[in-house]
Amino acid sequence: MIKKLARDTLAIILLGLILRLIIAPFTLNWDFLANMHLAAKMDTQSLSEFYKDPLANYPPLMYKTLSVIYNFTRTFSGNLIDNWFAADNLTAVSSVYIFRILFLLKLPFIIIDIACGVIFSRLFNVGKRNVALLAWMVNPISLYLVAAWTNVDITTLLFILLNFYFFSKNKFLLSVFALGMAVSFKFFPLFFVPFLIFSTNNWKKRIIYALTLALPVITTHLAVIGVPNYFNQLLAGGHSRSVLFATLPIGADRALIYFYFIYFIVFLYYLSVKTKNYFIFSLFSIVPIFAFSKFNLQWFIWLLPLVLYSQVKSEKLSPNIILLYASFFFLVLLSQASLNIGMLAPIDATLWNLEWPLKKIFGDENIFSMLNMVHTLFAASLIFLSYRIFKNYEKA
Amino acid sequence: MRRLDIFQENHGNSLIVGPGNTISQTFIPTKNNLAGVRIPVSNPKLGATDEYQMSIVYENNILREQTITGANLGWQTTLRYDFPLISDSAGKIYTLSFSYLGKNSADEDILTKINTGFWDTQKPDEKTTEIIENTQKNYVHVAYSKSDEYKNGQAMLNNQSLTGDLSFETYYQVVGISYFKDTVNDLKLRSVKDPLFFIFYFLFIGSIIGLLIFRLKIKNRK
Repeated sequence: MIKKLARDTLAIILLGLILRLIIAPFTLNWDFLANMHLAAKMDTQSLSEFYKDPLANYPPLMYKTLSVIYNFTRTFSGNLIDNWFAADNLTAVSSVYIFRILFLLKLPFIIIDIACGVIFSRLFNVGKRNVALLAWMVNPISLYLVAAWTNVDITTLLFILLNFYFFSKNKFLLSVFALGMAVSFKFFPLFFVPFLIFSTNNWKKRIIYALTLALPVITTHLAVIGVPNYFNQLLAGGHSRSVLFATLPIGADRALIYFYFIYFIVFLYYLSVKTKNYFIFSLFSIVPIFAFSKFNLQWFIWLLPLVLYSQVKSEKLSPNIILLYASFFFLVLLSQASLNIGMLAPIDATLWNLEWPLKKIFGDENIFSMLNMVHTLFAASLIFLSYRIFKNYEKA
Repeated sequence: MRRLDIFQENHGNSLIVGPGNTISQTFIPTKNNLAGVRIPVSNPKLGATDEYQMSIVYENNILREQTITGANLGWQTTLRYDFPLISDSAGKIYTLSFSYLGKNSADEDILTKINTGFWDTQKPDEKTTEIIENTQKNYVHVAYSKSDEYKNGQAMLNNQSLTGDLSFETYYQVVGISYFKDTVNDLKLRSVKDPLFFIFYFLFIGSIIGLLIFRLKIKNRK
């Protein structure tokens, strides 16, 4: 059956669609709810007021996109969705219309996720495309983070994958523009920019790339240039602090930041090689975020292309990949209920208020010890995976 | 496990539990095995050792009661009162009562006037305002809505009805497979209230599954 499936692109997409549609109406993460709440009120207030909200962590283009999705949902649900968003949490979660509303709200993200799978598959030669597409369609990380959690970063990932795709087709200006669009949705793709700019040795091209990349970023940020605290909140807010938390003290008031240390090494190595694999090196550059910081679990979607790349290339599920997935899911299971069973709150509203039941069973200290162990396994699996990809790259 | 039964979460005001000011809320559980109540509270006097009492009353009989101290209550928290289950609870009128066990009769009159909205119409002078503000800081506040949000019960002050309702949640005990049975039953009841969506949803998914099977059969023949 799997072999038959792997020969038919449309069948694979249909399978991916079925799996996502089964999950979507019955799961809800508070993160998605918070983002949609923000998007719903974006048009009713000035950007200065909007970005006073500490939860407003994305550039305006992301919220504008979410606002379009919100209005698309209103077309099919009328006042239902306005009433739903106005309700308090338990009332919203136990609403009889929640399934319809979640189906409509999540459908665009499901389509984007499937599009990501299709674009990702086009990075491979014809023989492996359907395998890559199938890997994406049935991938538990994608199903969890998009269909269930509805991580809005999938819109950013779409443009990152377009960036890789155009680069693989030697359409460099389109590639740069796509990366600029990705940065306009969320700032983390900025880490890829040096790798793209320096993929060429020609300074004139580098300047053109930089200007092309800046075009969508500046255009989408014109409205927020004067907004107090905008850049401070988005670039130096809580997420940045968690990424930069792990440091190696080297003297009084002086420390090395693990993430930047490894990032710069990867970049310097990239500059030194003759054949620059932009896809591999740019994704390598963000691996330290996951190994050396208390990353937000939904960020793992950024690395999905690298993990699936390894999976497809090796044509099997190696122990390394299995341990990586298992450790990630243990991180999910050991965390607070809103990241695991709490997402089933549309089915039973009791689950919305569950907090952290494992803490009551095992105690705070034991839970955090387990999380540390599992995160360490996750980091080791990820770094070893990166090493294997790098070794194969060197051989090639 | 305790499963959510009924709730009322709207609030925009609060009532203060203090000397001579017992706050209560009547409610009617829809399920048997009533085993817990939660109410949002705020405690301006953090760390204080003042004692309060929560009780569940049925037909003037105290079925369950618990003493809690202010030291166990945070600035803004959900007070969770779990108790041994009351088996035959569905459809009966219970009263959740929250009272202050300390003695400070000087504050009684001020608190009663705050709770009854006396100063909404009678603007206090500066000195009285200061007394009101200082008095409020000494006792636990419970979340309250002045509107009649919960039709099957009401909030009360010293057993006198108020216009609105407390914000509250009630829970009932479920064991093992009963949890799944109750969840599935409730899901069925909810799904029939939006039949248009569920008919569309199952037809839509069914069509996609049908198309997938059809595609695989075609590929098999080829």
